[in-house]
Amino acid sequence: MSNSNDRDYRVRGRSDAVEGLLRTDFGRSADPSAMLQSVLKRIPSDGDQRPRLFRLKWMTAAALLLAAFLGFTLGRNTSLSTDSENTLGELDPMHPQDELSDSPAWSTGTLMFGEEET
Amino acid sequence: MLVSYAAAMTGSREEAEEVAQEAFVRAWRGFGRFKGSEKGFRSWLRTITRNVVIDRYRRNRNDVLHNAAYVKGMEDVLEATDRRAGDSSWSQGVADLRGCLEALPEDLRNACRYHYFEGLSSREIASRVDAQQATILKRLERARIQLRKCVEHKLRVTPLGESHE
Repeated sequence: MSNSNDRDYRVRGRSDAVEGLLRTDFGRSADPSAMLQSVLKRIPSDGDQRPRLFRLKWMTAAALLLAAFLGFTLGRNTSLSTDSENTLGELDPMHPQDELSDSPAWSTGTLMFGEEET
Repeated sequence: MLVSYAAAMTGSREEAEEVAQEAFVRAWRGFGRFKGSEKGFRSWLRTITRNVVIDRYRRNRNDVLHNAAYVKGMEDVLEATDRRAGDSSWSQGVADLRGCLEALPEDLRNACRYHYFEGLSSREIASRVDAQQATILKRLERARIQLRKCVEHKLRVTPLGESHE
């Protein structure tokens, strides 16, 4: 069973190899000079190493700065909204919305604008 | 040669060229680790190419590339081509394979040319030659089998016998 499987896989490998040769017109379809140029562009020379390291350091520093800024801004916003919802409204006696909502007339809707409570 | 090998695994000429480029770059970087003959160098390059394909298609889990028998099957053909080429150029090495294509019956040869050289789909070939798509698929399958047998014969690769053909 395993031998038969192996043979089938090997036949498939041979067929695929032949097909690969066909697909590239027996290796002629690739333009060697264009490929060489592409390869050379991707191989960094010694002189390219330093700017690459510098870029990497610079990008790391920028990412850290951005993270710190975002952390500060988000943290500040979260803290403010939490305070206004839970703490400031209850503690600040001058908070207008709390004054109105605490008024029994306002809350029952019996007092019209301009009227005074008797 | 490397592009052909990559094309065998990826099924696409364009992707094969990208894979071959990547393989050359990796080979360049790892050249210090290579210790062997020129013959071993070609095999080493193919191993790198296969690894590039495996890395690129890891998401697709193309497990067949990990199958030793499958890889051996590919090597059967490519090593035999290397031997055939000897010290001469690759085009000399594949001259026999080109002869195999020319020896195919006309309908199979044309199907191969349209599909592999011009990049037409089986449907497009069917409309061009006024035939059923299924007929074209069958022709391509027969052509592949005949070509493989011809290559085995010409390159003196040991035939593996008949199983599902």
